[in-house]
Amino acid sequence: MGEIVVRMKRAQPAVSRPAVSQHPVSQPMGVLGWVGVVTAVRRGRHRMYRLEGGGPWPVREWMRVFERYWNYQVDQIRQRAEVKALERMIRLEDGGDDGTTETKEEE
Amino acid sequence: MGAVVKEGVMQAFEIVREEEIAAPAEIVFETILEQMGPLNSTPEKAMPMVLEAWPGGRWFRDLGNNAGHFWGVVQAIKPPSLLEISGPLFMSNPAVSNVQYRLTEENGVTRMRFVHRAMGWVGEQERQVESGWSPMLERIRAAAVERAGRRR
Repeated sequence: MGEIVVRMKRAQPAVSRPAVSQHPVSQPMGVLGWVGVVTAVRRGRHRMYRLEGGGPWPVREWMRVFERYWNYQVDQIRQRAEVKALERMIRLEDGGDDGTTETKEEE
Repeated sequence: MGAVVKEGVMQAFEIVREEEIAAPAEIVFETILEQMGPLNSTPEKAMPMVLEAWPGGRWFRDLGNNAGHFWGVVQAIKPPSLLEISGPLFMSNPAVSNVQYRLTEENGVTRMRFVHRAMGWVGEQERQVESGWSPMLERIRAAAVERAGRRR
């Protein structure tokens, strides 16, 4: 069923007929129509299927990809910054510098 | 050459996350620059980037031999409170993103507000088509199962 949808999407026609005989696809196409993916138009003895617009799926997919990437980045930043802060605190308690001495001298 | 007017392809999205970090803002800011730069990674693999941390500086993948991928440019930088980047990121689409890290510190704890806003032709592209349709295919599967259940 997914194969039919992807082929139609790539072909990009406003109205297209599946590149397979009608009988094996009539049932899945019925499901696609039922969930609003395609609409059927009867032309004589033929039933033509129109693929409904891309809908919100591509943008949701992009958002999902970025969301995963950024969540990972933010988690890494939080974890690493907290470890660094802790290490700096330990250095200060041990009487060492806080790692910023060099920068201050340069200024 | 095929020229087609595309309608309804312009879309936008926003991702916002706020985080409290038990570290001073200067350390958080330094860590952001590292994480966006040489330590950049996805959950699966390391993906080192170059981040030129000054206004107009580039954010890009340097693959050597003049190969690479430009992700964006530093739009604003104000250590240790703001890093703002704008650019296409990794979208091979006519789309633009604005990414912001804003930091405020109180009593040694830094509140980080992350925002990513994107707009443009955020439609399908060749490598994304299959996965982009997967949620719809899942909806179809669920609908088919439900329909089959009603017939019984």
